[in-house]
This record gives sequence, C-alpha cells and structure tokens, in this order.
Amino acid sequence: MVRRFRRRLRRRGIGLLHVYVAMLLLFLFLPLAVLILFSFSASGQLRFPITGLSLRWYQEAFGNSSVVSGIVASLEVAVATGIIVTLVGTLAATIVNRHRFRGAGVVTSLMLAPAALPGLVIGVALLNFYGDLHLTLSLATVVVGHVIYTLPYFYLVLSARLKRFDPMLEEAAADMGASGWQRFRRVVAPLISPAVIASAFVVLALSWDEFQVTFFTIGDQSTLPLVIWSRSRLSIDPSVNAIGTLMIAGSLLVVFFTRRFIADSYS
Amino acid sequence: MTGIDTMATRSPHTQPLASQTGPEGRVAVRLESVTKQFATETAVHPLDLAIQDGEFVTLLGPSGCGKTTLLRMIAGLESPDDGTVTIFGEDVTDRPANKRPVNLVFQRVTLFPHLTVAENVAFGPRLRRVDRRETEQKVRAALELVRLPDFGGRRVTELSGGQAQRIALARAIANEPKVLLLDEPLSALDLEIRRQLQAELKDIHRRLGLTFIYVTHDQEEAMSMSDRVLVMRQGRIVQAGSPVEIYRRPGSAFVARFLGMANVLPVKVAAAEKGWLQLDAGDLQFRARQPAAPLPMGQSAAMVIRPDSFELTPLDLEPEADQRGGAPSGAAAVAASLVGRIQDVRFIGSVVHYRVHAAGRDWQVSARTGHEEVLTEGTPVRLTWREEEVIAMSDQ
Repeated sequence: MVRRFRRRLRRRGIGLLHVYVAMLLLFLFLPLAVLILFSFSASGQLRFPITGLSLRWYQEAFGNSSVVSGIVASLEVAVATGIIVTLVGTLAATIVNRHRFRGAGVVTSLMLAPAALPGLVIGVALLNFYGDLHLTLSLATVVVGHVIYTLPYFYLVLSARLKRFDPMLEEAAADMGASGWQRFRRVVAPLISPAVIASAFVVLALSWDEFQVTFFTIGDQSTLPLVIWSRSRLSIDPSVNAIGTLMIAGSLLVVFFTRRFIADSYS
Repeated sequence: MTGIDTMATRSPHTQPLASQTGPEGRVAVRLESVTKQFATETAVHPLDLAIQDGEFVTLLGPSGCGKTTLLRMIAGLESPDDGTVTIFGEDVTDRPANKRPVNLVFQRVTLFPHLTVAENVAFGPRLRRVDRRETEQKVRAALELVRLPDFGGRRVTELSGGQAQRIALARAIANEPKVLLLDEPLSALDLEIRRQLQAELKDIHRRLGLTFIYVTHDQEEAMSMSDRVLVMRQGRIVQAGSPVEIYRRPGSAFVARFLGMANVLPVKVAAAEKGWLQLDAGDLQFRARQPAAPLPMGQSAAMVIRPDSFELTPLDLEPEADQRGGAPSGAAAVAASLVGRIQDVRFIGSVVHYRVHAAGRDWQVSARTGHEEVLTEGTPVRLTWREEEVIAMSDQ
C-alpha cells in the first residue's frame, strides 16, 4: 500500500524533498502570513477567525505622528548609511581585491570582523565611546553605528564580484589603447556597478530595520523599529501589524531589486 | 575609404616568400637581447629576433617555454628586464600596452561582456575618437572579414567559442594595428572549428598583408599557417625556419620529438667524410647527411628516420635463416635494411601506420595505401630506407 502510494507520488515527481521544502516554507512564512492577515482585520482582537477586512490599522498607523516620523528617520538613516558605505566600501574592496599588497588578508579580516560581533556589543561600545567624547546622541550617531555594522556585508558582496572579475579584460582594454582611467570608466565600472548597486540595497535593507546598535546610539528621534518596539512593549497594538506588513513589503522590494541587479551582472 | 580597405589593397604583393627573412624587407618587430625573469625562473633568455613586415611568424614550443611571455613583451603587457623592443623602427620598450601600435588576440575570450558585438569591435576606434560613420564602416568591414557580418547587435554572452574568437579578431583588426599578435587563440576550440579558423586566419593574413605573430604549442597549427616557425625551448629559440625546412631538417632531437617525429635514436658520430656521417646506434650503424650545423667525430647526437622514409616489403618468400637483415656481420658495417615483424597496424584512409619490431626496437613506418596491399599484424617484413632522408642532429 505504502509502496504503491510512494510510487504514485514519484510518478508525479513528488518526493519527500518536496514535502520537506513545503514544511520549511510554512515554518518560515506562517507567522508573517498571520501578521499580514491581521493587519487587514477589522477587529482589534488578534484572534481567529477574523470577522472583517479593513484598512483602519493602516490609517491609524499613518495618522500617528510617531510612526510617520519613525519612517522618515529610518529612511534618513538608511540612505545616509547607504551612501557612506557605498563610497567607503567600493574604494576599500577595489583596492584590496585589485591591487594585491602585503597585509591585504589582514585588512579583509578586519573589514569583516564587525559582522561577527554581536550588535549589542557594537552598540554598547559606541555608547561608551560617544560618552567619552561628550557627543550628543542623534541620528548621526546612529548612522556611524550602522556604517560599522553594514560595511562588512557590502564589502563581502562586492568582493565576491571583484574576485570573479577577469583581469584579462583590463589587459585587453589596455591593448586596445585604453589608459588607466579609460579602463576603469569603460570596462571596470560598468561591469562592477550592478554588484555595487546590489550591495548598496543590502545595506539599505540592513539599516532600515536595524535595532540593536540603534537602541544604544539613538538620541531624541526614534527610527521605525524603535517606534514599533516602544508601542508593542506597552500594549498589543494591531497597527503594529500594519507597520510590519509595510516593512515586509519594503524588504521584499529591496530583495527583488537586488536580485534583478545580481541577475544582470556579468560573470 | 577605411583603413581596412587600404590594407586589403596592399595584399599579396607584400607577402614575403616562405622563409625569406633577408634584409630587403622592412622589419616590423625587432627584439634585441630581450630578457625576462619571473621570481626564480628565467622565462626568456637574452634573445634577438627580427620579424619582417607582412610575415606570418609562429612561436612554437611546449608550455612554459617563454613564447607567451615573449609575445606579451611585444604587446607591452610584460616589460623586459633588459634589452629593447622596436616596432617599425620605433623603440617602444618603455611604452605601456595602450601606446603600442600592436593588438593581441588572447587565448581566453576577453570580449567586454557589457558591450554588444559591434560595440566591442568599435572599442578601439571610439577610444581614438574616430567619427561615427567611419567607426561604423570599420566595424562592418571587420565583421565581414571574420565572416560574421550580421552579428553586430548580438550580446557577447550569446556567442559560441569560435564566434567569440572571430569577434576578438575583428576587434583587434578594427583597431588597425601594425602588427597582430595571437596568443593561442584557437587552443580552446574543437578540432573541426580550429581547422576551419586556421584556414581563415591564413586567408585573412594574405588579404591584409599584415604582420602576424602567432603563439601555439600545436605543431600542426604552426606548420600549416606560418611563413616562418621559431621553435622555443626554456626561454630560447632553438630553431627557426620555414615549416618545410624545420620538418625536413630538425636541428635537434628536441625539435624532432616536439614535431611529433617518430624513430628518434640516440647515436654517436663514428665517422665523417664528404658531407656524410656514419652514425653508431649501438649494434647498428647508419649513414646520414652532415647537417647544416656540422657534427664532429665522436660527438653524441640523434638521428631520425621519418616514418615515410621507409620502404616495407613482406618477407613471406624469404627463408627464415636469411632474416638477419641485409647488413653484413661486421660490427662497423652500415645497415642497409632491417628485418622484423609487424606489431601493429593503424589504417587511417590514405595512409597506413605500422609499428615494426626490428633490431631490438620498434619503428614507426607509414605507407600510402594507394593500390598496395595493407599488411596484417605479425607479417615478417624487410625495412629499407632512403639514406639521403636519414636526418642527423644534435641530441639536445
């Protein structure tokens, strides 16, 4: 009986692997699905079955000034972080990967180290550091923390692309008469720019919902994750579901663009 | 009128005769005591070389012999430790690659993947700010030359290996180099496409009248395309000459073996007189012509009898007792024939290859099949050869 059933499944191309993958996806996405579902619920009670659909939690979220200013603050921090990390990271990754020098390995290890550190530790260390310097905490201090935290990821993604960059393409360009700058402008830059943009999106996504480092380095203004945290700490607030859904949508959008750019990059 | 047209009109008249390297032609590339060292290894020993305008020269040698390094030094992608590189009379030793009037077709595909085929071919002219219509003309002419006229709009990633190398060739030619350098451009391709492109390259060379310097480890490729072949070994040119010269008169055992010649024997020069040598190969003695670089008496040397220099006669009628061979029993006597047995037969159409065991070793013998009978394995045979085709050479 069992064997016959298995055989039938196999004939349809369904195996244990498929079941496993389905379970895994369910495990990963069920909580998110529930969150999205409740964000559209008409009632304030987080209980099944939901009695009606409405957009009232979205209205409530956007009607709330702290949520809106949180979104703005988060965007400001993410964009500032993205720009700084892209400039610093592109330079660092290009130098280390294209000009082999003594100690390049050490530099790479140091660049990647913050990714291995707990965000909590980075946050506490920065807080002490700012305290020693008597700096006032603000969104700027958050940006510094985010740069430290996201730079390794940017460096890693871009380095992976640069390692695949064929140095012979540069030689071919030189052979065709291109000077050093022309080689960078016409060959290197166009080939690595998709990876640079993809890495920048990764940084945006990481910064957008960063909590631990932000928690220790934030001043008067709150970023969106801190707004959500403070609201859901006190009471169950269904509008958090709406904000959460928006954040998921934002992240998915970033993932989508990143994939597009990685797919477009030339191997 | 585009530059390519100009070059084409120059065509067959500037073509030098095979192996003609006399001073009457213009020198395209001259290397003077050029040396290159990598870490602990010497890639190129002090080396002098002059390549004539319009010549198709091939650097032939096993991997690591310095042929690619030599080519890259001409291209400017490698700088010599010592010596000078001159291109059409101009000393370019200290000029970077982008300021030399040469172009290189690489072994691997080095087309720019973010550009279309046409943009790749236009890369050189656009850098030099050639105006748009002229650039377009150059691109079209170059694509026609490599027989891919309709490929301009394609993406580089859609090309097959053979097509990609054609486009690489077109890109180099559209840049109007004074010398075209080719670094094993066909080595990654299938045999059939390789053969076809060899023929086309030779044809393009003839039409453009441009100097080609070609690097390969494939002796057949070198032989079939070049006006002149330079055989390299361990950073030195060990022999230079037309394919026919090199094939007929390999200068050393290394060259003979590298050209895939069979029947290479170590020998000692037993006697030398009137342009002939007597060679001692252990228990056999052979006569051979004195080579261009004379071998003195007592010198250890090498000897080749090419498979097609043999004559093979089946022995089925001769009595067993007589099969010691035609040589008289005296030790110093010269062998005129050998008697042996066919060990292996490989029939490949117009030619049949035999492996004959005689006088304690295997001999490769090839015969045209023509209308003669193909002999079978185990047949006792007599081997004779034309003495004037026995090649004596240095054993290096």
